Amino acid sequence: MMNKKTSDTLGPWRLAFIRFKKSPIAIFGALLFLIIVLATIFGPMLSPYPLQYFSVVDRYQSPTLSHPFGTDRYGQDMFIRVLYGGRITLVMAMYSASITIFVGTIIGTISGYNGKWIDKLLMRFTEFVHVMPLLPILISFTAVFAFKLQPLQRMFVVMGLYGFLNFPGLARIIRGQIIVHKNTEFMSAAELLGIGKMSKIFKHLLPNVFGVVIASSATIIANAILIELMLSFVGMGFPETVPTWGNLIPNIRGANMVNNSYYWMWFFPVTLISLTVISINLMGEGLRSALDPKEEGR
Amino acid sequence: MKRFVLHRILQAIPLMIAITLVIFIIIDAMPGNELISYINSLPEGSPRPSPEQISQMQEVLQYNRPWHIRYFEWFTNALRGDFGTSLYYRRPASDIVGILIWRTFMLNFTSMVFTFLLAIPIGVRSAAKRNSLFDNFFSTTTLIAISLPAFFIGIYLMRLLAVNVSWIPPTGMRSIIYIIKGYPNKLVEVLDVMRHMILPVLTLTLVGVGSVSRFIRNAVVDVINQDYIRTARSKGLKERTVIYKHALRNALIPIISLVGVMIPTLFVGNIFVEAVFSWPGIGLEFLYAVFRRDTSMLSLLILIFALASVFGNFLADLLYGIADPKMNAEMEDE
Repeated sequence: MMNKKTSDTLGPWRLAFIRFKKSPIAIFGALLFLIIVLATIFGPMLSPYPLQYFSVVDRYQSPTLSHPFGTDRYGQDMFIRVLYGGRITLVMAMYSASITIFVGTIIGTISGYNGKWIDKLLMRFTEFVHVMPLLPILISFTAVFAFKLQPLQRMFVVMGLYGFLNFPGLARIIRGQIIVHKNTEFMSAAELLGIGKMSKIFKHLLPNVFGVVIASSATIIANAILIELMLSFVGMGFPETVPTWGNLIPNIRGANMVNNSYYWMWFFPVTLISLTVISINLMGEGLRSALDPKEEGR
Repeated sequence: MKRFVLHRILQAIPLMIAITLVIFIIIDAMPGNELISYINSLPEGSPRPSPEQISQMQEVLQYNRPWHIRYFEWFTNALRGDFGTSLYYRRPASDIVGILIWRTFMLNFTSMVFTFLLAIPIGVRSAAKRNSLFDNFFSTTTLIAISLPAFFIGIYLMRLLAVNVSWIPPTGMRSIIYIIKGYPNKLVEVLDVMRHMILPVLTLTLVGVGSVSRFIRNAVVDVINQDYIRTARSKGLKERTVIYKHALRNALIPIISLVGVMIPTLFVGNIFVEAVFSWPGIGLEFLYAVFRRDTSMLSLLILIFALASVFGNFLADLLYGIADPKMNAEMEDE
């Protein structure tokens, strides 16, 4: 502690960043994701076509310079609809993922730190949620609110529920990490110094777990995007008029666009969604190896 | 070991009861009921019952009793093997599910066989030549395969193979012509169903290869880092012998455990792949049952989904325990 902090002492976050930079695939994923997010935020602002722009003359136009992704059956510009859809879907995914991360961290920490009967009880509850068939429950649950709530409210409830039901995986990982860190020397030191319980958890234990949380969050966000798609795909997401990514792909409720010749109606949305999910996962892979060096050498 | 198994089975029973309770509450909360949606699904122009008749029928079907009484009745009947009758099919729900579950199994079993046939060579080779071009190529493509939802791959493949070139039928399980006329003989029927299986099996296989080959790669890498592999190498054995005789054989234990863990999921399958390809299995039936509010069908189907999930978890704990002696010791302690 006596010597000055020289420029070549590297904190854990800096080390992680250096490791992250070493992986070209992770950098590629991060850049791609950034571009897509920026496009969904700023793209619709720069567009000459408003969202509710109908033009009967321009129905089913194939991709041209003025309509890069073509137009749909109401003559609406697909490019704008895809970007608007990205906004809604990404916000929904972030909202759901933040619930997962919050609940998972809280339950994992309480369970791992306290042990004894609290741990037993919470882990039994986690196991119960874990073995529940997630998709069937979610689909049935959506049907419950089919007429009672506005579509936006319903999606908030359902995505929130998904976020909650998704916590067991993260909670188990965090519980394991907390148990490992609980018995280390720095925690005994904190004990001896008489630091309060809250301070011990939030200042000393949790920062050690953040790496794992961030590494897991990429997968959680990607899965939440896919859940929105799947719900819309079976006709249980937003109504058809709202452009979300799930609604822009051919679904079993609408006309079967895979079979007709308007390829741009499904190709651009599906490809953009795929690129988003792939970029998040590539980034997540990079984050995992950067923040969890134990996996290195695999 | 025996105590561990018994302990887990005893744990699973209250879990299953709790899940059926949750299911029943959710189904009860759904708006509308089986009778109303059945009447709404009648063809145009057919005579419809009057409101008095509807309320009379609901009286007969006992829909207006509170859910906990119906749950208790369903539960006692289910213990005796009676899962209720579907109004839509006018047959016991367990009869219908008994047919559909084998269609789902057929699809998933075939794709699992292909998955392992492809994933073992890819996984082992990636592990043997770690960080080579082969390894990097497949670790990236498998990452892409697992990050895409199955039905996306399905849509691409359907467009490519069934619409653009129309080699194979895009959806369904039987050709319409044979549904109307009937099959002339058994061989034609088998060939027709096989032709319809190509697309969904291909989709499920591509998705499966992604995760399974990564699992196998990691299992083999774990073995390759062991001391006895170094011994084998230093004895001057050929690299091929080291990998395929010494490493793969030891990596087989986790791989076989994975097969065991996947078996319950074969009966459940992927709802969305079945929906894309209109494969008449239990996943598609589940979606229809939600729209039909088919209570007896829904509760039986979710019970099957839950059973598969509980059983899969149990097998995972058990088989990985057998594969990993460290965990085995922990189980003995319990």
